[in-house]
Amino acid sequence: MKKYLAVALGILTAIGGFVDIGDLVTNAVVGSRFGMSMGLVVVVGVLGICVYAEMSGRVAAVSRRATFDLVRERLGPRLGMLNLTASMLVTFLTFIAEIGGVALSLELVSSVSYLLLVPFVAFVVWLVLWRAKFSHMENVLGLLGLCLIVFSVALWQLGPDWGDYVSQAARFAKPGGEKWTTWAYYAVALFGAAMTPYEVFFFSSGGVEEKWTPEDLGVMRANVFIGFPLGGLLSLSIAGVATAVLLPQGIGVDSLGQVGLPVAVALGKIGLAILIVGFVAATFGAACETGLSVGYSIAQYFGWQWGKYVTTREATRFHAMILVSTLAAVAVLLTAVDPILVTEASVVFSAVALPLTYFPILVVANDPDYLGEYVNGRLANGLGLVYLVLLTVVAVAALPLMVITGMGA
Amino acid sequence: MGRSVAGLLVAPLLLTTGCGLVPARPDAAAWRDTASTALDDAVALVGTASMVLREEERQHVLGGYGVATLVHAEDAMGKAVDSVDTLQPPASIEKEASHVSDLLAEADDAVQTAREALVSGDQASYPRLRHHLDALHDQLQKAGGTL
Amino acid sequence: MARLHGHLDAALHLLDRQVVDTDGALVGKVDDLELTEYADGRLEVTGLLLGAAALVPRMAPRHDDHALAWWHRLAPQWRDRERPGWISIEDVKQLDSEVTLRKRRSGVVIPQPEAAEGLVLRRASTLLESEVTGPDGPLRERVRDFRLEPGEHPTVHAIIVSRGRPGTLMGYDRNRVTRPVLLAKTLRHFNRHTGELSLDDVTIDWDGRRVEARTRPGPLTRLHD
Repeated sequence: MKKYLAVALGILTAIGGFVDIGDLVTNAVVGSRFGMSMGLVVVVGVLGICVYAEMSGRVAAVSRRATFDLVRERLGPRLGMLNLTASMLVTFLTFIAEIGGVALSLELVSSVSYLLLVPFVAFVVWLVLWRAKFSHMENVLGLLGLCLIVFSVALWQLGPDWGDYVSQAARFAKPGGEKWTTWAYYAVALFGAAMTPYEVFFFSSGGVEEKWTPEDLGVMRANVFIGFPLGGLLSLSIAGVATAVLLPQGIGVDSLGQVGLPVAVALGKIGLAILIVGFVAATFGAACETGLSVGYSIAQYFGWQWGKYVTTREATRFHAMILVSTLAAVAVLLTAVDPILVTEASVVFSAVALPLTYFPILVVANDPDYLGEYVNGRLANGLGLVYLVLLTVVAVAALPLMVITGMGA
Repeated sequence: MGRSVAGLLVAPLLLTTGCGLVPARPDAAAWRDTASTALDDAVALVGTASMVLREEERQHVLGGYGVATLVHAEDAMGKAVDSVDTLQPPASIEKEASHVSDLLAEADDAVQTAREALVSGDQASYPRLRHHLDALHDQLQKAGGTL
Repeated sequence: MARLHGHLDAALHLLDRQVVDTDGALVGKVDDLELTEYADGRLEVTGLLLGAAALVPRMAPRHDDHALAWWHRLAPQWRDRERPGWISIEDVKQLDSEVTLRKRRSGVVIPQPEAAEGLVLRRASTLLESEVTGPDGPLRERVRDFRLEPGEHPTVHAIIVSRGRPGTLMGYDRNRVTRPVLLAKTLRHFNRHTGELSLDDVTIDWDGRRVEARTRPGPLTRLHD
């Protein structure tokens, strides 16, 4: 019985923890401008994160090696450092976006300008990373993140023409007024949002934190293969409600308030209240995950003691990194840069950094020195390879598309 | 050494060439591009304002949510207006340009008025404001379509 | 998987691995390896080198002196800033996906001791990326890795040379990693010129960064477990 509870809890937190500010904003923007024509992009992205999260989780469970251990061991110190720099810039950008997202969410209830909330939010994030137990942080924020299910409820309440939604997705039905380059740009952004590299840094390091062993592989796979796709359904619901409510009015999303408007339309005050709790939990959870990921990756590259499974005194450099990056994130946000803009940039740069993260994982997941009998099977390798090609194409296309479309304007 | 110092002095001069304080003077096509983006944004923001007022009337919105959303909309509207107003349109399309400019200014006013009404809780004015916003919404869409 | 007592390739299996102490606490990375050169030319791995003084030179393999000088210049008041941290190879209990020590981590890393009389201390990174000259003049291959013979003290017995970039080997040419087939084939293709030179057939010019081979590189022998 206890075991089933653990599995259920894992799945629920995986769903609640799946969506972050990048998913919220990108899916809403895409829904409000392109309808459901990018539904398949989300599906492909979610399958991709499942494939690679499972691989990195398996490596972590069997060999206790997290992602940046592998990066350095397989790419060497120089390419590894390049990779670290690029990945950390992207993860830091995401970290900024998440803290900004928490502040924007709180602004929606408090009417206090988000800029005043930023230092407070960052302080609480830091405090949680400094003090809270890893499992408590994961479970509480993951479960509260489930509040975002109101998006799905709202969609059901709005009762759109489901057949039309499916056909838009199947036909890549781009609205006439938009260019294909803009469509492709947002497809890349959506892909980057679904497969953000920090998710794998965090997932594999979390596996080491929670002392997974090969016996936990079943639970881990249940989390990934049930939790993530259901999280992906949440992403589709966000796009779905935007398609139903905002697209017909020509309301292209550029603030968090607009993201939640369809829920207000469909469900009223109570729905909106639950939604805001979901906003705060999802962005706060992701802020914790990205903040930790920065510390994890740098410490793993240099071999420092890291993790919340040891006391803060035993992992001082790791916690110093977290503190420094939190302060830096506050500094960036206090320049009054629009957090939504940071979010949009972070998902596109994530797309650029994707192969850097996923290539070493694929290589090591095939190495019996690390995994013994748990090396990749045919399916994992087949999918892994297809995705590697896809990720490379996306990564190469991302920046040119960003320039050509002027960030999707 | 001397040459590299000279280089350091000249490079910023070269880099700042063309960054003077004169208004940018795009050609007609570039101006239309900017105007069309601004009109799209205005459609979105006027639509948002109208939707927020409607949901406020239906008691669907919580506490500061509506105000926060409209403050952001007002902000973004200001940027859209500025993006067009700081350009010097070519003489050939001056009439068209002033129409777009007027329309955007009106939209800016309307969003601001909506925000003011929301903050002061002047519920009686919502239907009238929404009517105005919806009319503007259509005009902006039409203007965007004919660019 | 206790590889230290089987055949292993230094760069592939030892360099850049995580070092953990006897309790599982993290110590650092194997930033470089200390090689002791005996008068008879025998090369033994005698220690793990850790810390910035070992890592910084590897960031610029062909300008490692400059890199180390730069590192010194950042804080010239410190004596021995160029001297890396050191853990004796005898303190290593096991090597699998991590390097496990026999001791607790507190105080386990000491400044690298001076060489004993008649011995010379080298670094693995100096050998890696060295140029290779064959019997008929310079070769396009460079040193990518070297093989260690098992035993109480791991001894270098062969040098692996290749034309590919060092990052592209990743074990596909050497151990049992054969999947995904397409990736393995691609990487093998890039490294099709990978070959092996016995240490008996080469003279290492440490200062000139050159390995002079008296034979052409032979095919790579597969590692067995």
